Amino acid sequence: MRGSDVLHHLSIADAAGMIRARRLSPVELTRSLLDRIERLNPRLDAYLTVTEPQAIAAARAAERAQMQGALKGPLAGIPLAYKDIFDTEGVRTTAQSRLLEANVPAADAEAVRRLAAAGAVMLGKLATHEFAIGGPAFDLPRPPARNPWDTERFTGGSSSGSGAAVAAGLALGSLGSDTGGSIRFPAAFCGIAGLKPTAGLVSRRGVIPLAPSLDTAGPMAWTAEDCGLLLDAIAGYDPLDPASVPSTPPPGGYAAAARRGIKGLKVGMLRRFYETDLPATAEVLEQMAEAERLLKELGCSVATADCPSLLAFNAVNRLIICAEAFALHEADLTTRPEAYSRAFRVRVMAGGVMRATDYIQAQRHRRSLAAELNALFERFDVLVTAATPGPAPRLADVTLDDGLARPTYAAPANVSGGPAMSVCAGFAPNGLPLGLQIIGPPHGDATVLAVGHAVEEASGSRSRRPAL
Amino acid sequence: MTREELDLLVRRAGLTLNAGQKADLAVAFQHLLALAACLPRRRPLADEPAFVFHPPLSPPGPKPGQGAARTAARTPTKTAAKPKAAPKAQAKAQTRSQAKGKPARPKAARRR
Repeated sequence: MRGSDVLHHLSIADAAGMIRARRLSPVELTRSLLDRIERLNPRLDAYLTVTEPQAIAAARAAERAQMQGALKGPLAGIPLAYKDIFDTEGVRTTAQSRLLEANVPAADAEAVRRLAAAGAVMLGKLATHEFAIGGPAFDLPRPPARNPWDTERFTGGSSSGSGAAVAAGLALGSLGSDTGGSIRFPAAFCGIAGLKPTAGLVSRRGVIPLAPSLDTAGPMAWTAEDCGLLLDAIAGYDPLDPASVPSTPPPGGYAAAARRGIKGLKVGMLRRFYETDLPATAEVLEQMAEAERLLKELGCSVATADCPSLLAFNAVNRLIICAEAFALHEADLTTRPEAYSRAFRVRVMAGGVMRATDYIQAQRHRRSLAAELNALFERFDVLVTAATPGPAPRLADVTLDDGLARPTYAAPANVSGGPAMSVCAGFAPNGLPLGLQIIGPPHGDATVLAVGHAVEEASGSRSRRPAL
Repeated sequence: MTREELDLLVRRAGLTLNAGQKADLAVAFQHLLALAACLPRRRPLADEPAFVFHPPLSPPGPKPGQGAARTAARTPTKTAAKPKAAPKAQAKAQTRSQAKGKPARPKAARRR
């Protein structure tokens, strides 16, 4: 078992095995999580909406299929919850914004639809930074999510509720979105696994956009293997998403690929990011050295990989986000700016006064940087770097212009379009989780998952849960 | 940047901001200027691939209930290499697509 024998702390893989073997009732599992949500959500603010009646109905349907030996697959009866920017039919989807408080979509986002078709049980909708960028914000109707490892700490964002809910055992898995790190930051700060898949691998149809040329939807779960199980259900061409690309899943699927071992892989360490460009804290540097040792022990060859400065990737990523997000929100920002949180305005409004040429030059430079980063995959199978420069900061210490003022380790993979994931590779002396980031070439998602899984297993990080 | 210059930019953007919102914008804009300064400006004139517009690869698919012959003829499937089998296979694929109410998949997608 990779998770625990406590129901709410089961990994998806373990729960699926128990459901398949008729040792676990989907209804019992769902009720266990609903009870826990009721008890802990007032402290964590991970959920914006809980869909209890629908969840029980879906769990009963899964249980009937279980009894008839007609389970749809490994996600049948598995309780999940979705970032509140994923459209859900008949269920309010707010992007945690006043502007969408009454928004009830008529159809599911394609990724949600695929998970429902796979038999997953939706527990509800999760907190996000406003429109996936404006947060943490205390001037919205609902407060930001809190980190289960220390509720005074930041979850990371923008898939903040996803990180908190999975770490706290309020959902076995989730869907998040990543435009500039929004899956990987909460995964790192909350000690879970989060994959930003190859751009276009997962449909974004029905996902409220932030910056369409960068937006990527992806799975978040307790383990890399669980992310593979979710990816198996949601990956695939969608002719109605203009950015969707055809792809071929690995033999046996992504979850199976995650378990295949990593002996013989060539790993490039992107040291300059965490040693020079944005120096990490001592505990992260120590963790990176330990990760390098583990990777060698697992049979990988490890060498230093050099690439353009983090500042260049960050500039491109942030300028594109600002310009595209402003364009999407122009009508409301120009007529009722006060309807947005201050955090949203600080991060997006400047996009309205930047020059068109800066946006265009950012797009041109994006191509050059992507080519340079992706060229490294002629020498390496994956690149490894830190996920964040330190463990989760206190909520009170997060500044509104974070992200504009400081580069992040996440931007390179958003710029390159390749897959990248954060897995929990250890803990700081104060008990907070530390993330390790693995970056792959476009369509190298299976290899990224395999490295993530191997690191989780070797580090033993999956045996520790937040005490709540 | 002077207050007047910022006011001009704000007006051009169509924004109506109070003093606090304008102060926030000024701080954020300084960050954006610093980010924009990181971008290389001297690129070859022909370095244009970032501007490429990809037009739809096939005409819009027929609406459910309409004839399929025209679209099927323009979107050959892999079986097109076998002339005898092709029309049947195309018609079958088109019927499936129509039954699901989905538009025809772009040609490039099929090739991969």
